[in-house]
Amino acid sequence: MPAEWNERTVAHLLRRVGFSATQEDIKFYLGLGKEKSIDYLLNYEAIDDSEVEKIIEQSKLNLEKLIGIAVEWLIRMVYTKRPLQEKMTLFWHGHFATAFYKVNEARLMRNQISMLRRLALGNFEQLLLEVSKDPAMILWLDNNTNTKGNPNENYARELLELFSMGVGTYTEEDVKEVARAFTGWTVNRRNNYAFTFDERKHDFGQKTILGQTGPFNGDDVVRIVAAQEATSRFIPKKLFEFFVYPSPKSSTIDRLSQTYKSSNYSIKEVMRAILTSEEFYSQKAFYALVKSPIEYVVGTLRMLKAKLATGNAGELGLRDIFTTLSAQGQILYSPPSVKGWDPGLAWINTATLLERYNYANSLVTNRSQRGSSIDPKALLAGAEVQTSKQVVDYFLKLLGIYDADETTRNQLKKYLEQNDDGTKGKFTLNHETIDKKIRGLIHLILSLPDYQLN
Amino acid sequence: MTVSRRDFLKATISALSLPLAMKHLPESVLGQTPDRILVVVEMMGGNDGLNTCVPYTDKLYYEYRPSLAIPEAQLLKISDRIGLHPALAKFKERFDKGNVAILQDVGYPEPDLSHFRSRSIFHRADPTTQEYFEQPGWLGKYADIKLAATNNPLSVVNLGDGKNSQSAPSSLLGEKFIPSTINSFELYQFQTDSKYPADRNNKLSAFKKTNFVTNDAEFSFIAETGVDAVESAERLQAGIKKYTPQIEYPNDSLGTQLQMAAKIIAGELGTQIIYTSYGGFDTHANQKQEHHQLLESFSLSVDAFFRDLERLGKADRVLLMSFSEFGRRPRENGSQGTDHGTAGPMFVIGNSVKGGLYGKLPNLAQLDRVGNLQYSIDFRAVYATVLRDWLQVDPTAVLGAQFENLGFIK
Repeated sequence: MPAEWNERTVAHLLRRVGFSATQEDIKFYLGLGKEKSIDYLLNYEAIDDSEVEKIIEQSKLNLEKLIGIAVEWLIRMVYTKRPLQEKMTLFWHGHFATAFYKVNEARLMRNQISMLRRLALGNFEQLLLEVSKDPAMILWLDNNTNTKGNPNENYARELLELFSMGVGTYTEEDVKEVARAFTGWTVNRRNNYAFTFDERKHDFGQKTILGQTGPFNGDDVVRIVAAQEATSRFIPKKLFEFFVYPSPKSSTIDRLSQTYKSSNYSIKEVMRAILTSEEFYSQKAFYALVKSPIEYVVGTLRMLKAKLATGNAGELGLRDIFTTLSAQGQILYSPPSVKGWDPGLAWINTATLLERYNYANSLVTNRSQRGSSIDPKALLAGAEVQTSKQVVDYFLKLLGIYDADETTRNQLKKYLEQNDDGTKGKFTLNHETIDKKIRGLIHLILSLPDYQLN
Repeated sequence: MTVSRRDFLKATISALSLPLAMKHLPESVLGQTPDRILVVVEMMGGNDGLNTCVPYTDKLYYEYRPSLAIPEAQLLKISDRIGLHPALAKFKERFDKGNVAILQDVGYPEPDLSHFRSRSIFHRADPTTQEYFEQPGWLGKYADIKLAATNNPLSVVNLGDGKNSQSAPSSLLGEKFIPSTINSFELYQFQTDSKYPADRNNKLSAFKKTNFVTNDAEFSFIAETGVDAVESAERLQAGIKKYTPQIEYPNDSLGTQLQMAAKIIAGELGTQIIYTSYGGFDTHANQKQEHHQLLESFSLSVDAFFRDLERLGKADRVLLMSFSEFGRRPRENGSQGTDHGTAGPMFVIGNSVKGGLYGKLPNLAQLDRVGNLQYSIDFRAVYATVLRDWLQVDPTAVLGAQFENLGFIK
């Protein structure tokens, strides 16, 4: 049975389409109702997001550097009013995974992400075409060296294997022929690395690709590939697994594949089908995913209304976030390989968990003005809570945990009541306990297994 | 059918149903370092085997590689047919001492040219793998059999270089056992509020009691990994203090990881499997310089590692094995690079190794349809030899089938 439209459901939706819900978000979407909320999230162009541009401008970032463009994107994720746009952009970044460590040009990396953001819910064929012409992608997968008579298969293979159809749905011959079709698709280093088609390096001969024969160019390949049955299943399945839960039934993918085809490859329509599906609101979907480091960090900052060092000191102040993301295993603009980041429990190991716990500790215990910090007293303002039980329940909910076990609640309550020597004391909410126990409680909640799930 | 990890682990965890509190064995059991330690080095991206162990008497080699072939005069010859890449000088010294087995032309039937699939095949020792996350890797299976009962999360350690955090490779995934991943020793400890140190024990206790095993496998996996992390961190910090650096390692990814490995071995933490990896081998373009650096790093890092172990008196207990997901295509491409290939060499190094060249020379005259090498040694035979003669377990139990013993271990 699908879940009813309540706080828990809104929190679930916002964890998936964005980076968790603040209390204000929950009130807003609860008031809007389910259908209107989904429309609102999907039609994000209509939402004024100029505030975030202002924050970025004031932060005086150096956009020629990796740290600068990474911080810029983090600011967008934290402050945007268009959560789905940033989440989709992150999805495509993991899908068309291109990394700074080979491209070495922050500007090109940033341009690629801007393109992904612009087409995030657009037409998949157009997206694939622009990706194929994207300078960072061309350098990343060596298509600048793919020339007539000397094909380089790197882009061709990943286009079929990872970007559209999936492994096992094409032949090695197809890879070679696709590589020929993309010969001469290169960048002009003397013109700011702009995409250019070099006729002299292009192989104009006949090619046979996925059963069709012709003097194909890269545009033809993209057209042919976008229309493949394999693509109509691979892309919606990957979206479903990113937004809902792993290993959906094949009947679910049949349905989404139909939507992909009947909407002329509209990503927005596939997403609408996913966000309105019964599966999305099924019990099975709740907390079925593992938070990625970015979801963990950005979601935490948002729900705790963390104060970030933006403005002039933006880059410096957010450096700690960049560092922790790296240690947690997810650096923006630097996926580990062209396959992107592996989802689910692949995020979890002893090192990455320790880093999550330690980042949480440094955020909640930072009492200085540098870096990011929280104000536990402000978080309690307006909350009608007094007893240790009420405080525990309040913070669990504030951090999106609606299904905590009774054992968990009791242990957290016990922590609040404990004296330093471990004996049971009495918990009263006051200046000292807020500084000590509330900060400690938040650290413990951020270290719960419940909190690692999305 | 693919099983979700949730269902998969649910079955195993409830079968174990060990409350975490019961997992703790006396320190005396945990502190025993096993006699034999295996260190794996994964070269990620597909190492160009033909330019690593060069068949310098084969004319086709020079024909296929007009810009990349290494002139005979520059090679470090180890037989009348094979010369090593000039960056492998230190490695050659060890080969000459008889401590290195070079397995030539290692691969598997119906090779896959995808990095990810081929990597997965090597990790799971299964050329038919469906690559679902739940399928255990070969070392994970080994750990399930031999190490799960120790309940020591540090018995299998996956290392990173502190810059690029490496998630645990599929090789190490088991059904009953969670390996420890350590990217940097400095970061590997559970921190609490420094303003209230007296509250730390309360926090640690609450942390452990809220990270419990339930019938939800994902939740349990996270909880168990979390408790392992916090507990093993304390032991690790104490253990690595036993090491004082004296040997200089290359200041790069592999050098960093192998020095970490030496510290762990010196710390006697009960570690038996140490996994390291470094990338950059996907040399589609301008490979000369890059490949040189990667091999040089291997040669110097491995040399430093064994000298360190010799100094620490632990060298006899360590076997190092390297592999890459595939070799590269014999014919170079138009970008002074090479595309994805198939068979390539594997190295096994240690005092217990019967050094020498094993297997056939790559046959450049008989390539497959794509223009790639046909393998002569199945990589699973290398695993089988290591499993039986070094790790002392029945290889069939891990690999699911019998493979030839290659006899490279004394």
